[in-house]
Amino acid sequence: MRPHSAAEAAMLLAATAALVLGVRAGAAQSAAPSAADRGGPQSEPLRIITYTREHCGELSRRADELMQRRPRVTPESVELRDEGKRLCAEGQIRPGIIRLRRAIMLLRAPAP
Amino acid sequence: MSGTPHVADPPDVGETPPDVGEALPTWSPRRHGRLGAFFGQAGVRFGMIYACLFGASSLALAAFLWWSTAGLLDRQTEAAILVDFQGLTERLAEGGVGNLIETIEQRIAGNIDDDAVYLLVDARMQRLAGNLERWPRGVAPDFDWTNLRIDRGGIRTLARVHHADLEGGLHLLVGRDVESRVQLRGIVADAMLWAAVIAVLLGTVGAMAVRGLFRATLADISATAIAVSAGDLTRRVKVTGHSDEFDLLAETINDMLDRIARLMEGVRQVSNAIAHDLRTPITRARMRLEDAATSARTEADLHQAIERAQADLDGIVAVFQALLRIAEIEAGARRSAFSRVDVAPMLSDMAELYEAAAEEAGQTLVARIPPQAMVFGDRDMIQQAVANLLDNAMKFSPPEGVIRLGAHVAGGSGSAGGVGAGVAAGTVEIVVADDGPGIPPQDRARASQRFFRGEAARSTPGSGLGLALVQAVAMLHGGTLRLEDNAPGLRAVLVLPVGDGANGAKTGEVA
Amino acid sequence: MRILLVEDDRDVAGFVVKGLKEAGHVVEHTANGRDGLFLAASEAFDAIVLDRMLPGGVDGLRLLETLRSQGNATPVLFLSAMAQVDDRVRGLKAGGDDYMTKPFAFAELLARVEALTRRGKSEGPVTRLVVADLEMDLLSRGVKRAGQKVDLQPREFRLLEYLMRHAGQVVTRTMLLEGVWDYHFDPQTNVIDVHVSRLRQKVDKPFPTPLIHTVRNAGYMLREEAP
Repeated sequence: MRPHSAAEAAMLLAATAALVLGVRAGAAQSAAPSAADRGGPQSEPLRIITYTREHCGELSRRADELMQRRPRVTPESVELRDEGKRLCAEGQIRPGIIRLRRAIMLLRAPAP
Repeated sequence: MSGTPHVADPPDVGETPPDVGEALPTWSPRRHGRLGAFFGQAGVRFGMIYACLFGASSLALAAFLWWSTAGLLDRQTEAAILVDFQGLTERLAEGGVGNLIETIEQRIAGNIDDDAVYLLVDARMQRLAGNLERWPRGVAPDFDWTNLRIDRGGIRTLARVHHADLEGGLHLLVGRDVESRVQLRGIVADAMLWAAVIAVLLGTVGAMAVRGLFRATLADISATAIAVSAGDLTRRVKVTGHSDEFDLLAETINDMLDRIARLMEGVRQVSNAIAHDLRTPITRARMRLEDAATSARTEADLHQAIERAQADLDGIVAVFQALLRIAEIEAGARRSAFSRVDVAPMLSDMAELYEAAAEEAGQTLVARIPPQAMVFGDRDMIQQAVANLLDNAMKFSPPEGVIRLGAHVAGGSGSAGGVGAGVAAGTVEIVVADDGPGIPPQDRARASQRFFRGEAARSTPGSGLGLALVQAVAMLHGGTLRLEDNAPGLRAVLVLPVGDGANGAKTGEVA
Repeated sequence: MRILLVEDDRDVAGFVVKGLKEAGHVVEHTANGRDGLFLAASEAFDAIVLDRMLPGGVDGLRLLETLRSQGNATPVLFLSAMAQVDDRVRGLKAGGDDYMTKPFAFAELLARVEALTRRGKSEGPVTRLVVADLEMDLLSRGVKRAGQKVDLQPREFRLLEYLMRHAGQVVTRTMLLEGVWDYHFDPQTNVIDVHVSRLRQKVDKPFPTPLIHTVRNAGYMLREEAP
């Protein structure tokens, strides 16, 4: 082992480095399959069009409708609906929408 | 795993492209320099094999881990999408396009995690429902899976979508954000990277350990071989006592060295003996001739001196031939000429031949030979061995002495009575006994060595090779020569295995 | 007799040629195998004395094999320094009639060469051997001398038969050991002399003239008159 220990150590290091780089590159590639994966080039990401005041309105309408239909309504769902409406009105569309959806899901759930 | 990049380095060969069969034997240090020398070592190769095996198994393990974590998430997402898609298709079948559009709206309204992607378009690719702005460009509307980059309220994420044609020229696209999954994938990949680094380190350390072990095990064998080739025949390989393959190898090598040492000792003995025992008669003959040349008075004197010198030379030749014959027998070359021989008629012939000579000397030769005694061996050699024993018996027996030549078969086809107590199974014992001075017990072990001459033999003519030849014949046949006390006299027992050819010859020894 | 000697050692060859000529034979000598083969194939000899190892590309074994393949049956005696049992067997297998190892006694060589030429001449089965007043009937296995029956042991009969078949020739002790006892080595004890002297007791002692003579330094000879 003695006469070659230097060469061995160098090769060990080189091998490790090559492996680390290789795995990193592979991981990076697999972590971003992106557009090239299938379906050809896609220059611009497609927009999700539900982040609008119109959608907010749509969701509040659904929530109101559900509330009217149910005999009993939990205070939590009311709270969520009101907060959603408020956030939408303040321009925080996405948090608003998520609150409204949660309210709707609560209202859709069968009565306890 | 660890060494692959280095092995893949193309060896710098000249214009001739090496094929595999040729490249292997020329894998010499001189040709490939330091690196070649390094990889040329068996220890390194074993280490590399270990590292490769370790790497391959680590890789397999990593693949399985990947499949069961990140892969599992992928499969779960896709399963959820498919179930969703299936549900929507059923709605279309139940209640038409309107029902489908309403269901999609409801699903979007209930999407608390805000990770769903829906899009329903008509035959002209106009959006009917869903939350995606338009059908992705370059994506055919038929049944397929795609990854889409999407913009969710200013945040860019990646979505896994499934799309297919529906009845009525409609196209539906259902998907889920997989950004979190991608992140998880990164984490798993990172963990695997570190695992890989550890694997490389462990693999290399293991490989070095394997190589070290290999070298350590071979070091002693190689050191022994070097010492032996340098002339030290007493060196032996250490046996660790684990009785493993290396011990087996060590024992085999040691047995081989023992045999070589014995042969060398034999050669040394013979050359010493030749130096001593042939020098004397040569000197005698030379002196006789010199004396005759200088001081013979009459022609008769001269003739007499020449004749005696001639007799001396004949004696030397006889010793020479006996030595060569022993060497020939010991080399075992004649074993190929072995066959099944009945020694009984041969012994009767010899008894007859020697009876007359014994009678002439006033001795009596008594022969007791069975009707048949089959042996696997060489007739001429056994004959010569028995002749040597008879010659000895006649030489050392006093006048009026009785010489007995006997043979009995033991084992196999019935025993020959009480005589053969302690006779090994399946042997023929040829006994030559005399009532001469015998050989004292302390000399018996040496009596069959070349040129050994006991006290009693000092005054008689002879070369000291007779018993050595008998011993060599016994050994070649896988038998033994026993020298026993005949009280008084010597009882020489030549034990020959009956044999069947398969286990015909093993090493024998003097008892 | 015409004898061909193929032997590359000048001294040994000179010694053998001289000895054979003194014994009254005509000797051709050549020192290499090629010439030896040419001579043996082109001329008629009564016997060939052949060395195993020869210069000139054709060794003794090859020479003999070639000769035998041409249907030449001239008796051949090998004279060789190769003394191992296997060498002897190979020499005889190749078609040799006798095999002697160096060093050798000339008397032995002469006796064996003469025995060979005799062997070569014998034709057909012999049923009766006669030397002077000694008669041997090989069929009834009876021996008579001067009309008187001589009683012999089986071995003595074979010994006498051998001597009578080689009557007028020197027969060495080794030849007797080989021919009568099938021994291929020399025992230290002089067993042969004892048997010959016993035979003499029966064949010569009761009669006025001896037939079995001792030849000094060589062996025995059965012949009619004393020299």
